[in-house]
Amino acid sequence: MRLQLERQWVRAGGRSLAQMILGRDPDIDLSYFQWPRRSDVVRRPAMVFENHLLAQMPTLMPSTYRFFKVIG
Amino acid sequence: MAVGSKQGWIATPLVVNCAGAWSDRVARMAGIEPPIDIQPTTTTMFRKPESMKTVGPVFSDGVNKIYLRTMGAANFGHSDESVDADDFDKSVATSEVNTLRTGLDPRYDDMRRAPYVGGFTTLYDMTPDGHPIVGPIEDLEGFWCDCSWRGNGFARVAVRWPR
Repeated sequence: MRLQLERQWVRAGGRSLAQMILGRDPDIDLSYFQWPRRSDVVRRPAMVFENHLLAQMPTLMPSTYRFFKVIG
Repeated sequence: MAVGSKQGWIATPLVVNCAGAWSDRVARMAGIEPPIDIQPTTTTMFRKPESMKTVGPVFSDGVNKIYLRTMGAANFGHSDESVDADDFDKSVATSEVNTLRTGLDPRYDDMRRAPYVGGFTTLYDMTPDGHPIVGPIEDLEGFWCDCSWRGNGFARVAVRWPR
């Protein structure tokens, strides 16, 4: 399910990017992923495991977790 | 905006950087330095026990930090080491095999006896927050990015050539 969702998301992202390039309104808002990031983009929701075992082990994935606000 | 090639320059109103593991160097060609780090990620393969009928399209175990699918098992994360996309170690370290076994064993008891049959190391194009960079780049008209999709977009993979 996760893989399917990720593939659908990548396809939708590509389609929306093409729409932006052509000057059309994109199906989904990709402004979250523009660079530089908006100042409120500080964590990666899909990877935040609140009260999860992973949240207790931030050093295992430091390159991503260092930007997370770990709640636990 | 123009793109250089062996056949000459190609004028274009817009360039989209979707070069995956090479997107950092393509961006540098345009004079920008996005925070893309090229990092190795390992996949190992174990012979599937006969008792294991299926592992589904993909088995994602966030607690033990592994992915498992019929092609192989991969660590949930990736190395923090930065590498050159054209010159990196594609082999699998024993420590990586052990890491994946440690993650698999609690979920599939039969996997404890599954022989290791090889693996490979490929690349992730990582941003600091783990998200892709999509859209136009400020202050560089005509240059767009669609990169840093890590394992979900255009990526370097191992290919077995048919004999």
